[in-house]
Amino acid sequence: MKAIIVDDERLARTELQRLLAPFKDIQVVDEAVNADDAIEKISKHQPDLIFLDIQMPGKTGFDLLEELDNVPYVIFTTAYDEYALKAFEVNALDYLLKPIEPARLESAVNRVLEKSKKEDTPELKSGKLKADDQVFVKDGERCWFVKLEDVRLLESEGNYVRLFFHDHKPLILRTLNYLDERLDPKTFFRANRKHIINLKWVENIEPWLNGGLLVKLKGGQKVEISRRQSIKFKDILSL
Amino acid sequence: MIFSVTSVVVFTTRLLTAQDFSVGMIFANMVNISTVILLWSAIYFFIHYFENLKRSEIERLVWEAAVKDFELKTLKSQLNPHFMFNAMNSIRALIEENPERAKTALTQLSNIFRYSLRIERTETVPLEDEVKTVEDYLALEKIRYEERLNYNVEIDPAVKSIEIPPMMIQTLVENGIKHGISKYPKGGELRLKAVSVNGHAEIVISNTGSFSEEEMKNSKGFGLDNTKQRLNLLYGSKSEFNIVNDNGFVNVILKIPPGGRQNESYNS
Repeated sequence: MKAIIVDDERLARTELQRLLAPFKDIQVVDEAVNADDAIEKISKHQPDLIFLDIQMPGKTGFDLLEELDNVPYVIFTTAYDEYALKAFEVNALDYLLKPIEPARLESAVNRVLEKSKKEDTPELKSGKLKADDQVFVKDGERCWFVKLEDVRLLESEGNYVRLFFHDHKPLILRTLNYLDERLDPKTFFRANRKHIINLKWVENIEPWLNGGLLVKLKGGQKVEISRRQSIKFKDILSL
Repeated sequence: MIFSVTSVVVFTTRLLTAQDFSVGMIFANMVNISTVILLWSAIYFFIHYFENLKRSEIERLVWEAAVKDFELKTLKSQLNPHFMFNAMNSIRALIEENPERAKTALTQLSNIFRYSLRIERTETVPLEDEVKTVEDYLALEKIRYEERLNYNVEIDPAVKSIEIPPMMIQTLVENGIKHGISKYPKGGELRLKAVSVNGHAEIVISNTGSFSEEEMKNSKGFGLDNTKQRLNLLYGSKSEFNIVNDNGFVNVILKIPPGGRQNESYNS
């Protein structure tokens, strides 16, 4: 498993390298010193796992995750950060407190390895976001790793897109057109100018005005499919 | 309540007198005794009630005093746990890389820790003691930030023994690192200078960057408000506190009068 360490302090990176040396399943392929550096190196190496410091100069670790389209496994490393820890409690993400305890590191790494065995490793190079890919979403103090398959609806709000998953509907800084290009067309369908729907969440379909369709999603939302898109929609479903 | 009970008892006694005198007497006696017992317990109850009330009032006052004391204690800034853990993490890495430096760092960290324990019971310390702590602190931050932190400390011997509130310079230096160094990928510079001006100590803490009123309002500038409040409590109008932008640096300027505090003690 390929990993990258993201931390602005050289000594912190060195220490983590040393602590990771006994783990033969983890190859640290690179280190990054800030969020922008990390974005570059992540796209270069396509790691399966990143060790991520939260407080860094410029952008924080959270800002970094928000900018990634496809988020690898993440283990947070932090010295002391009440806010971050609060966010983790809600989501039960993995985090390590610095100085890192070797036993805690071992259990965090094992958890990631186990998780990766269970899930099919996504083909990272293909470029399209698959249903089992995850994105990082932050809304105020709360944050989530969201599996795309759990997202039933994406709604455009200017430069932002509102994601609907479980009981949450946070905004992410992406345009709907951008996501339309990146999302896997087998799962996600552009219903109209403002909406993309997850086909796996469609409950029923009714004919609608002007030769369009009205789709009801599990969870209750109703989305209109424009006439032009309806033809495409029928095509996909008849396959 | 007691009166109504008594009147009922009297009423019942009268009723009984007409029917059976002796049985009535016994019953009335019983009722009378129970009235006395009832009355007695009522008095007992009330006395206890008021005693408890008084006690809880005292407890409330003690609690309030404790809260106030706590507020004043928190005004005395404490060591930032984020710094402590990061320093320990750096030292852990240094143990292998540069054991000599690791040893020094550990000593510096214990100096800072000891100082922070010592000042819990003091209102003011000689400037030179505080500066010693700040120097240890900066040396540790230098290990962490490496080439990203450059610092310079310059103290006029004339002000070395002026009494200042403990952790005041330390907090401002921490602030300077937070806003002037840790924010920038390339880091920055921090300077601490203390000179004597007309018998006052003028202490200037500068860091790379710029400061805006707007930002100050948005961020919970606890550090700066805290410093102002403490200076005011201790020296009243004889102290000064200013922040200015100066050529790519933010200067925090403190003026502290000689001869310690001017106001009544706030730590009873």
